[in-house]
Amino acid sequence: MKQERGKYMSEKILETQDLCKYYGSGENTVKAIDHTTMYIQRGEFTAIVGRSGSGKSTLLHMLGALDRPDSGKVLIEGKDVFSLKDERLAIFRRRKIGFVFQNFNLIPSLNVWENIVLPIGLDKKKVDRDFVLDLAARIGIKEKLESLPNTLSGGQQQRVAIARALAAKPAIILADEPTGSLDSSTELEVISLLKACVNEYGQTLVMITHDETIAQMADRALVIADGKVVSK
Amino acid sequence: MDKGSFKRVVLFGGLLFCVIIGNVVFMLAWADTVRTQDEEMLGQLILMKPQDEKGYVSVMRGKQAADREAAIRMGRIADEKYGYVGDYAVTSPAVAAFFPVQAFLTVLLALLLGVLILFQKKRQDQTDLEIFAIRDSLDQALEENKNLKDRMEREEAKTKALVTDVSHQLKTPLASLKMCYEIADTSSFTREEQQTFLAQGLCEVNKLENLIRSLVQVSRLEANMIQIRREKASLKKILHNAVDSVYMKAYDRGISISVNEFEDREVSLDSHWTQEALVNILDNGVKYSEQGTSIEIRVRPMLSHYLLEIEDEGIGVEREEANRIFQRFYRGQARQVQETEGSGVGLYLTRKILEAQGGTICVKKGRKGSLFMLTIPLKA
Repeated sequence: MKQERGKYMSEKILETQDLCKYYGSGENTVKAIDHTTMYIQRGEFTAIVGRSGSGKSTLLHMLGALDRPDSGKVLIEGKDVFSLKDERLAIFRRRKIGFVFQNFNLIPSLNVWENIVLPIGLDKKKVDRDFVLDLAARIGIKEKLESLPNTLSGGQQQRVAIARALAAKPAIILADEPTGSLDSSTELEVISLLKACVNEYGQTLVMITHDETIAQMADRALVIADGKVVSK
Repeated sequence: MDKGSFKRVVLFGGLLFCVIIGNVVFMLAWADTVRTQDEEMLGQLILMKPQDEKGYVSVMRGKQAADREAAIRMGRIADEKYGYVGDYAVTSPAVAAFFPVQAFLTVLLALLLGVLILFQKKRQDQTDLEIFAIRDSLDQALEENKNLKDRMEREEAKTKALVTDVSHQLKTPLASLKMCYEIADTSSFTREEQQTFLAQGLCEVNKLENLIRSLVQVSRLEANMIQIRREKASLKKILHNAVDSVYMKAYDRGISISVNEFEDREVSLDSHWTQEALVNILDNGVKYSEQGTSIEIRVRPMLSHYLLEIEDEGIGVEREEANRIFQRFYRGQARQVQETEGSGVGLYLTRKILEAQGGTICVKKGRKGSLFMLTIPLKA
């Protein structure tokens, strides 16, 4: 197994090099991420497991180039993302990464369809209507496309968020506790969906979770504790 | 060129054209005014002194041979003498009338130039971004190409690993089979003892046969030779058949299996392989449970998937092992598992089969034993 991993180093789609992010100063310094070097392989479903406060969300924010590190690098497909100017970074991020958050982050005044295609519009790309409709059908929200988010259940709202993340066909999906506010059976269903979609469209899924059961369903699990990644 | 930028070019060209035409008209008008003014002045002079008419005409029309510099000097002296001092104290009416127009035209031209420069700057920035995006797409295409190659290499490595794993699995039973036959072939044993070893040998052959059957399944699955053919199917029927095939084994051990009543909605599944997947879980449940316990199967349709919960009252799965029991050839460390025949293939196959059909599986601690939770997609 080890040998096999070594051989496919070239397939790293996402990589951190000696990444550090500290909050506060002096005695109150919190080492959210402490000299972390890790990688994510293309096409894999990787779970990053850790307790709350272990630094896993900070790590995900930096993997997604949402937050700049104090030192170290994040490479997406070999490109040092923080060397890009803000405007370019935004474009690069929109093209490469889809985000799914615990609290869905849907826009309440837009209906489900508008929420899903919003990021595509931001990128001035054409919406692949058939693809998005197919996706909506798969995910079980086809009948809800005209509805407003606040009329949906939590599980349905998260499906909308997943569809939104997948609609622009990004290479990487970063999910931060996507099932944190769902009950355990809905959780399993949502993960099945994410997994199946990502598999079908050849994407890479990175999921932050505190739930070890989710790690069972991943291809690979990384454990993070005190800002350091302890590979499993 | 899109519609917007075409409009912009037309607007800009139009403005430039207007400025140029305006300028030409302005210059003609100016020349005309100056000429009129000259004629007026000539007339005034002639009216003042009609006898010098010829001299005035030749002065005004530039035919006078007098020294130009001397004439300018004389003019200045005359101005000073009558109090018209200062650079622009006297301005020709022709200049005064057209100065604002001239100034306006200059400002307009400057503005147009400024807009042009700004616009070009913006265009350049945009082009830079576009180049960046194109490079990005190129990188992506190259990356995809590389991935394809990598995937092929990985497939190859996977096949090699499988061959290694399989031969390793076959070694142990083969070695003991060989030993049985060697011993049975030795004349120093009694006929009875030889018979025992032969029987033992047959036992090993059976084991090998079972092992090979599961290995064939695994290798077919790995080599994508197993085609999961999804078609309209009934989960109820699949589940019924799965329970049926472990029923006798469970009955022998006094283990009861119950399934709740559920709505049989349309699913798209490979009936044969899905049944196989379920049998593997149920078979484990029967194998690793005490006599007289029960296995409960609960099925519930959800939004996009069926949720299947299979809960037994057996030895359960340790938390540390939960991640590993779905791996190829992994067998639990528990005594009961080690003492029981098995190849470590069942749950691996189950996971693969479910995942290939858009479902998933995980294990949790049940009330007494283990609780397997499965999802199977409903037809969209």
